[in-house]
Amino acid sequence: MDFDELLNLEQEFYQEGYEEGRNENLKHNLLEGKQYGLQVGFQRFQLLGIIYGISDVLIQKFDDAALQKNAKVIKDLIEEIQMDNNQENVAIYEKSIFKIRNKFRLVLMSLHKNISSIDSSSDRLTLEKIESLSREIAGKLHGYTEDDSGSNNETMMQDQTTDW
Amino acid sequence: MTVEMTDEENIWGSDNEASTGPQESLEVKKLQQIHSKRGYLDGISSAKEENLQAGFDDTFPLGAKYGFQIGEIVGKLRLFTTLYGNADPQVAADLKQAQDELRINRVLSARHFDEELQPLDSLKVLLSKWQARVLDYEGKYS
Repeated sequence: MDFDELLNLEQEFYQEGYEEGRNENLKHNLLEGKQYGLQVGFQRFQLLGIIYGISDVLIQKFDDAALQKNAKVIKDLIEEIQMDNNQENVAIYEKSIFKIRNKFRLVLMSLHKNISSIDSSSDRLTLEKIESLSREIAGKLHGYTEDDSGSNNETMMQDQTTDW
Repeated sequence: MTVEMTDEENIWGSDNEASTGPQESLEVKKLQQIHSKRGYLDGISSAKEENLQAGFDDTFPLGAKYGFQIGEIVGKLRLFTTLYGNADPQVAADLKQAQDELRINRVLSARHFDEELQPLDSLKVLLSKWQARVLDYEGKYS
């Protein structure tokens, strides 16, 4: 083997390794991105689902003008939000979420007024209680990680403190 | 030297023909080890954060859909607990169970997704179960 051949061989080995490393990391990044996408999508829309569900039932149950009006505004606002990470839609989400929260506060006040006249012992539903329920389900989870132990792989999600 | 020998073997060949083969392959192996490792590391760092965003954007809508559906289920059960919980203790029990079964780390879990992070049928089954239960309450208290 002469010097040129040796160099070619080195280059060939290098290239093989390079492709392997690059492909491996690209695959890894894609998967990691997908994990974050699932998680953040879930976290961003879960509270909206709670608010939508409650508003939906309340519209059917209470014949209260203020409650009806605000709950319908909430449903309309939520229906306008597209569930993707497109920049324009994220902007709509950011803009609407404040309005939705404020309207929902009003709806819950109307609800309280309506039910306390029927049953004074029922618990009072507040936005704070709803948000705490939301946090319990969507969690403070900030990472979707593989279980290193390799044994019990049931849960890949792990509680992480990273803020993002 | 025989006529079958190549030039390559001639250059590297020692006087002892028998030892030429293994010795060379050892050298080549070592060469491969060094250079493919160097390439591998460079390859890894060349990818940097490429594909992260693509993956994120790809699954975000799916995560959003599940989050929203689960929110609806839990929100309605929470409201039913406020409205009917005193008379119907089963509502609160269901809410508690839903909070447990539909928590993010139970839903976005390896048992409900394949290796490419496509959802499995088990997730659909889980969500359908809870959607049906909520519908039952809606019917019962309509």
